Amino acid sequence: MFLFKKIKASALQMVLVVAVIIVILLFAFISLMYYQKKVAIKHSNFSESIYENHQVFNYLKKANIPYGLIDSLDVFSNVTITKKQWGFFELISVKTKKNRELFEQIALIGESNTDKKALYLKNNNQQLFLVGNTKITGDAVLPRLGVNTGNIAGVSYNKKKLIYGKIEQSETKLPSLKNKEKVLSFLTSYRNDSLERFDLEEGVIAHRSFIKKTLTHKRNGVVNIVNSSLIGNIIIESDTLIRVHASSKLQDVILIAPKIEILNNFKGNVQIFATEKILIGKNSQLAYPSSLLLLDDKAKGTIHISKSSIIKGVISYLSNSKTANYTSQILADNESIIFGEVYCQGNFELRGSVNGAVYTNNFIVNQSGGTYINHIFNGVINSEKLSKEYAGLIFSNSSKSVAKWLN
Amino acid sequence: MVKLIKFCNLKIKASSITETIVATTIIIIVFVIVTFSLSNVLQNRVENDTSLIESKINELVYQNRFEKIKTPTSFNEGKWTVNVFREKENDVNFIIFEALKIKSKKRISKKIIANEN
Repeated sequence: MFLFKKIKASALQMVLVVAVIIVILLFAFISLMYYQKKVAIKHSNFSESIYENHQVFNYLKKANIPYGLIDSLDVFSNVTITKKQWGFFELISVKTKKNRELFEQIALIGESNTDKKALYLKNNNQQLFLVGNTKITGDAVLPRLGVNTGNIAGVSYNKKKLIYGKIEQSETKLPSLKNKEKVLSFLTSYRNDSLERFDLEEGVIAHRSFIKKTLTHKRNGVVNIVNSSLIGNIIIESDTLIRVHASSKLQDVILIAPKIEILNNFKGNVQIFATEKILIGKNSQLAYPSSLLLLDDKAKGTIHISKSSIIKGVISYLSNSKTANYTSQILADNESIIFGEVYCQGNFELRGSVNGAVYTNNFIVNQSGGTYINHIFNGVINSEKLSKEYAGLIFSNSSKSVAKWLN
Repeated sequence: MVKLIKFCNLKIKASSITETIVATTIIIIVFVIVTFSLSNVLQNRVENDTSLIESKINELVYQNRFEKIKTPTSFNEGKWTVNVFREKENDVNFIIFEALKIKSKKRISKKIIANEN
C-alpha cells in the first residue's frame, strides 16, 4: 500500500531548512565568541587602567608635580592629574584612560619621615626632667644638657632608664616645617577656587564628592553644627567661633575660625584651623587623618585636648612670637591619646600619651600651684606604636604616602 | 519503516535521485563551511590565548614586590621568552616584564616602578 502511494518530493526543501538552522547556530556561536572576546578586551583595558592608576600614585610618591591640572606625564600617557591642597594634606586626583575605559581615584597625600624620632626638644639650654610615670620610647633629640629625673609635689620618676632609645643633641631651632607655607597659602587662596555655597542649618545632611566643586558655608558669628551630617568636600568658616556638637557627623571636613570647640563625645574626622583656641572635649575621637593647627602670633592661644580623647593625625601650634611665657600652648590631658605627631612652637604640657613623635620648644607642667619648665609629668611618648604607613608632618627628609583614599 | 514513521508522527516525502544528489551536495557544502569556520575560530582563540603567560608575568611582578627575583633575567616559558630588565626613564627606575612569543613575535609587557627601599 505504502509503495503505491504518491508522495511529493521535498528533500531539497528539507536540506535548505537544515542548512538554515545550521547557519543560524553557527552565527549564534560565532557572535557569542565575538562578544566574549569584546568583554574580555574591555575587562583587560579596565584592569590596565586601574593598574596604571596605582602606578601613577607610586610615581607621585617620589616625583614632585605642580599644583593644578596636568594633562600628561612624561612616563605615563593618557593620564590626567589634578593636585590641590586640602588643609594639611595634598589632594591628588588621578584619571587614567585605556582605550575607552576610564578610572579615577582621589587620595589625600601626606608625607612620612624616613627617620622617625620619638622626641625633638629644642636646645634651650635647660635639662629635660622626667617625673612620675613618664616613659619615652624611641630615639630622642634633646638639648645639650640632656635629661634627668625630676620631682613634682613629692612624686619622682619611677623607671630604670630615662630614654628607651638613642639620644642625640638638638639644635636651637625646631626642624622647619614644610607644611606651614602650604597650609597658609591654602587658607588664603582656597576662596579663589570655584566654590558652591550652602546653608548650614540644624539637621542638614550634605555629602559632597571631591570630584565636584567644594561646598562652603561662611558666616559672621557663632556657627553651631548640631545634628548634621557633613561628609567630604566641605569647608565651614566663621569669623568668631565654630562649635561642633556630638550629635553631628563630620568626615574629611575643614573648619576655619579663630576659636573652634569640639564638644564632649564627638566622633569624626576633621581638619581644624584656628588662631585663638582649639578645644577638644572629653571622650572625643578624631579619626585619621585629622589635623589641629593653631596659628598664633600673639602667644595667647591654646590647644586643649581634654581627658580620654583620642586624636589620630597632626597637632601643631605655630607661632613667631619670641616672648617667653609660662602657660601651656598645647595641653594633652590625662588619659588622652594622640596617634601621630605634635609640633609645638611653644610650651607643651603632656599628661596623656603620644604614640608617635613630639617636636616642641619646651615642655611645661602646671601642678600643685607651681609651674615647672621642661618637665614631663606622667606623659608617655612611644614612637614604636605609630603605624609605618602614617603620613603627616613634612620635613626635609620625607617621602610621600597616601593618608586616605577618598571618593 | 511505516511503523517508525507512524510512531514518530512524521511525514517524510520521497524525492527523485537528482534532488537527493543536489540536497546531499548542499548539505555537505554547508557542513564543510561550518567545520572550517568553527575550526578557524577555535584555532585563533587557542593561538591568541595569552592567559598563561599573563599569569606568569603577574607572578613575576608579585615575586619582584618581595624581592624574590634578580634583574635582569631571561628564561623560556613554553613558546615564550620572558625578559625582566630595568630601564631608567626621566629619572625614574622602571622594571619591565616582557614576554616574546618565539614564532609569531607577539609581545606582552608590563612596566612597574622599581621599589627602591
